[in-house]
Amino acid sequence: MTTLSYEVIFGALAAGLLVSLVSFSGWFVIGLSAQRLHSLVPNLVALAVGVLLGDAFIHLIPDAVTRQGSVREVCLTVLVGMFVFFMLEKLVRWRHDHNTDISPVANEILPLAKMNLIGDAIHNFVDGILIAGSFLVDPALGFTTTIAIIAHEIPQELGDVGALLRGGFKPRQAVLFNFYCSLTVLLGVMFTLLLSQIAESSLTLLLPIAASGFIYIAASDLIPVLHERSSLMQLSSQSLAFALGIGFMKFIVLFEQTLLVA
Amino acid sequence: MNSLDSWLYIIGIELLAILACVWRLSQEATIKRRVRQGILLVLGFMLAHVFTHLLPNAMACFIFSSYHQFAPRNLWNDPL
Repeated sequence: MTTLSYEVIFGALAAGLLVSLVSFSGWFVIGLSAQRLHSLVPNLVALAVGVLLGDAFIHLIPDAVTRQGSVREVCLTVLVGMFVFFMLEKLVRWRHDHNTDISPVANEILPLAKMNLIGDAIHNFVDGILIAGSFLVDPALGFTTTIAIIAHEIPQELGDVGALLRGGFKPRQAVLFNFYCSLTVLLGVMFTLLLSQIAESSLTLLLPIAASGFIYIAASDLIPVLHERSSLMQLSSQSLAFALGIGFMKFIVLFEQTLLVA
Repeated sequence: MNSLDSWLYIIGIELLAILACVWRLSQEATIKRRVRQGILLVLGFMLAHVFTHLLPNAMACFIFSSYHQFAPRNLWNDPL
């Protein structure tokens, strides 16, 4: 680890702000008509499922295994994380929601949207730790890590906005709340700059927890939404979006490896 | 412009872009007013930095650049 030079501090902060700025990539949904949005949202949700599961299984969990060294420990942490997310959703439903259906009534936000925001916030916090951690090692590595994180954030933000829209948010609100969640990147950056040693070791715990959040949200909240409509058209378009999400994450992981090796 | 100035400007521009997006998206008057104040603050800081630091430096470089002995000093990195 190098000492904290202004290049490391300002570089990490600028990179964190850039990742937060990328969360506005779902902006295009604001200009769409209600009918267009209605047909687009299930496909965005399917994309979110593919991206979340892809991120968890081919990005976060292998990364956690590399850091932790034990597959058993990582799997156990993922399971504990899923249990915590289950409890959290139960609490959210018990505390705020009387509607347990998967269709929002007027001005109501479904638990799937709230869980998505919580999961996204944890993931962005982890991204902040990764960005600042790599800036601490070498500013050049910090830049490449930032590019890799931005590349995987864009499809994920699109999927997240789709999930928030499905959860009852209005288009403007969905983009704005998605941005508020992305500000946890800056918290992760500051946490790492202030307590680099603790932040580095906390990744072995935070990476599987972020992965468990993604698996839980995709499997328990988003996939049931995809089963609402079962026409052949929906089946083909949603399957394509799902596969596209997984394929995109695989491509990003390969891109990230090439970038970090170079 | 030295490296610290560059970083400050990059961060300033990013902040302005983020605040402009939030201002455009939010519909509540109080949030819009706060964000507008934030934009003015960041813009004011950047302008103050230009007029008190960058402009005098650029003028001094322009005036003294005809002297062979003159070498512009990097104020942040070089010890005085």
